[in-house]
Amino acid sequence: MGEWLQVCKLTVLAKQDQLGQVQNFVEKRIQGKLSPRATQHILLAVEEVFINIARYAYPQHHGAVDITCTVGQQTIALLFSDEGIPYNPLLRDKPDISLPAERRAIGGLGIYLTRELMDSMSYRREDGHNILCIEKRITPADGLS
Amino acid sequence: MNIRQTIERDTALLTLTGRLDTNTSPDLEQVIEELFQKGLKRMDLDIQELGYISSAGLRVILSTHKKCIKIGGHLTVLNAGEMASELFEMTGFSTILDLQQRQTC
Repeated sequence: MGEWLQVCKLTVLAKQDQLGQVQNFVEKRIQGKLSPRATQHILLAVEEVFINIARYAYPQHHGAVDITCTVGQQTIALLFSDEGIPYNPLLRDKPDISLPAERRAIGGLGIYLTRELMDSMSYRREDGHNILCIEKRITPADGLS
Repeated sequence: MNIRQTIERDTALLTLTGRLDTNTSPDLEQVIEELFQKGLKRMDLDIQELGYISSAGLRVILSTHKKCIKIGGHLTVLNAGEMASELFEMTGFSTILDLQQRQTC
């Protein structure tokens, strides 16, 4: 008895102005599966990951990014695949969130928040692709019917 | 995102509605920069009607806060909702920012 899954894929140019389209795509797929709070967490993670790719993956030209959304009974998984330069965001330093304002770096929080808000985040380089996967568990608190 | 400005004496009240994300935060940054250039040093940022905020929004809030400190002004962030409050906690902004709940006009 395999788990019921719904898999959808979107391909867009890795450009900042595609953010709305990417978030709408994910929001539609996960509609009604999660609490409003968990939905916000996923949409934020989608923004942070997508914008990271839009900024860093293709320094010379605008390449594509595939976003695969897999909705299962227990988890929602989002896989981002691009053919840009090798880049593992998980290797970035964690920001020091205990510093006073004057010493806080402006920025660098996006990937940190994504890691905090998702249940898992993984990266691999495979056949010339950066593959970043984030997952969120569907919990009883999400009121899944 | 919509930004409504109300200026009273030395304080600018900015009321934000909608989404403060990577694509809209430069608009807020620009409005704030213009206020600084006019000589305003005190800002109240009402985010009650902000339905969504990402790290780009947090970045503008932190840079505004830092700039206010530098010029002897003050930033107050008003009426943070559930999402913003949670992000402020996670990033330690809650210990840096002046966060208040109060009705504005």
